[in-house]
Amino acid sequence: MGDGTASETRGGASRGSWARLDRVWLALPAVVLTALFFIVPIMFMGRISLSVHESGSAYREGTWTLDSYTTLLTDGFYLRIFGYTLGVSLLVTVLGLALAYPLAYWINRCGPRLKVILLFAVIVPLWTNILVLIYGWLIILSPGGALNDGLMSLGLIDEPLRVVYNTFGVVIGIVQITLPYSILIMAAVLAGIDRSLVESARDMGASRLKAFLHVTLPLSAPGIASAATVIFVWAMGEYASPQLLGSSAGKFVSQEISSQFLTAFNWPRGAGLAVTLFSLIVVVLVVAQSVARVMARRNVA
Amino acid sequence: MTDVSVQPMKDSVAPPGGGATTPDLEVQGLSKHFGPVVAVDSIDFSVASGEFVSILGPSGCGKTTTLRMVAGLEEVTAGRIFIRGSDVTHLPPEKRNTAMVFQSYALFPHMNVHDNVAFGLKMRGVSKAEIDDRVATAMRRVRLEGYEKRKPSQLSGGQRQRVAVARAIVVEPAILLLDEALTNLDRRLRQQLQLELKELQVDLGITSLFVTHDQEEALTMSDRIIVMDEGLIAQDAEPSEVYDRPASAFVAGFIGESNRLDGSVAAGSGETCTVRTESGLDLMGIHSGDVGQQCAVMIRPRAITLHADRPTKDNVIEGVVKLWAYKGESYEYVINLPDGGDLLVDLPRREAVFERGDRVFAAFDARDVIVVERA
Repeated sequence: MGDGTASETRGGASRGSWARLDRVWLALPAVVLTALFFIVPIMFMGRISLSVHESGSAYREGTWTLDSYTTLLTDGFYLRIFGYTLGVSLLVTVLGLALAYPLAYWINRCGPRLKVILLFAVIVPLWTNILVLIYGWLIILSPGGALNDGLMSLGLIDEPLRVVYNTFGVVIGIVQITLPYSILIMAAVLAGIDRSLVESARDMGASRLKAFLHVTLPLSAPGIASAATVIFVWAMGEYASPQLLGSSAGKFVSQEISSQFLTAFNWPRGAGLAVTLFSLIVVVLVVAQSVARVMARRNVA
Repeated sequence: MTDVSVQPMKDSVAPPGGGATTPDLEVQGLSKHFGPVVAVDSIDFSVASGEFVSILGPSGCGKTTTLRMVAGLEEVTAGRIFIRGSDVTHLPPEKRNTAMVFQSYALFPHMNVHDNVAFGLKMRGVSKAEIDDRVATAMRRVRLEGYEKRKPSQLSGGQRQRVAVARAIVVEPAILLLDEALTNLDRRLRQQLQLELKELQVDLGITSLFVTHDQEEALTMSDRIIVMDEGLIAQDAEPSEVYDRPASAFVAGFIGESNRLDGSVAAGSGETCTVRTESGLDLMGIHSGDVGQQCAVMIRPRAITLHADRPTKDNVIEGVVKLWAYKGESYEYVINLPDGGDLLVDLPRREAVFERGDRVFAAFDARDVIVVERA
């Protein structure tokens, strides 16, 4: 929202420095809010992660050490947690996009009235608490749940399917939670693509599939990128799904952060985990963005 | 301009395939319904090879829907479409060998100009060397050499329009379809591109169907004009005939400015007839209608002259100058008639020396009085 206020005040040359001043003042609330709620807490976290842990209290103030980072980056226990979180998040991102894109594409092709109804249906889960959604999945998927009961009474399976309390359950949970966001993002981008572009491609001799591949898909790439970012970032920081739908063998970073802060009472290590997770997300996003840019350039050339 | 003029074929209903005279486009009983709305109501027309035909009409008359059905972008409710003799009514757009220039140009924003123009050839599986060759030729034709690497967003409206034309002609379509292709340009550029497009069309001998709501554009560019109104063809004729001998009051009112007076045929003898208008004027016109028939009289503002003294002409109406306006090439006068109605008169420069309130005589020949049936 901050860049919106900043770009709208493009003053004429005659107003010169006044216009610039206006722009600074208009951007100020956004800058203050961002600093107060995002940058300052992260800096606190960073500072704590560099402190010495002391049993009996959270951390010793005023001390400096890299201990928590050396532990995190050398201990296989923590590396496995990071690897699992990253792996599941990438899987969830791919599956989420694969589900959301066709849905968004289909919703966008519906008539105006049906489109409103469908988008409404997409939004409804957002009004529900995430824990309620997850317990809903437990009712359906757990060994004595609706799915297994149904399949067993139909005689299709003899033993309950193991679809929760493992990675499968975690994936289902995060995909479900992020699906509305990615559908909304991609439906908006698809709706912004001029219909006559596709018609023009068809008229120029492209089949339905080729018109999609050469026109719709490249033009919806920004939506795919945004949706992928939202899903991935959400998944990397997810807590409830692995906690309730996963197993103790597959731990997410946020679960470990929670246990370091609340159970082990090791604030420097918890903070170190948080900062490392944050950095890992940034690195993955930067790499993904540069790969996308190179691919786009190669496409154009 | 009319060196490619072809006889109108409005009455041809015979199935195509008649040898050398097969038109490039033939439309039979074509209809389109959107729910209860009849957008196009069983129309027939054809476009001969090399002909430039305009579909002209107000918005909502069904002209764009007709064009889109020819392109295959709109399902046909009833009727048949033949392109070069083969039935394409139910073929998808990519199998029709038409090429359309959209009102919005519909250039692919993520491709540069070269790739936009090459798109149709690429889809047709043409080799890369030939694509480059033909794209270069098309770019020369529309005078855009050197712009190949630009993105559409880096071009002006006129340049985008040329790219859209290049993209369409490069595939050498059976029919070039133009949907309000010049509407989004400013007036001066539009007039320039009208001539360029017409020249290109004649040079290439490319069969064209042009949809427009701009009567001046249609008159300038077309070999033939199909005037549409409420899903029906109101007239299908050469531009001069549409202008001079409009088939209905609608056509006369839509093409060019005219004064309209309603009345009925009072007397008729041979070529000429006398129309008594509702306000009691007797006007002489050319028509062979039945006496008593309801009709409308249309007079072009240019056909009327103004005089201080009563002249000897077929038709003379006395009135008072209500107001006048300088229009550059001419003066426009509004003459207040005794019955309270107004008469629009367009006089060449300097011929006009009347002021507001002057009593004048408006005169015009019988051959300039267009008498059309009134529904």
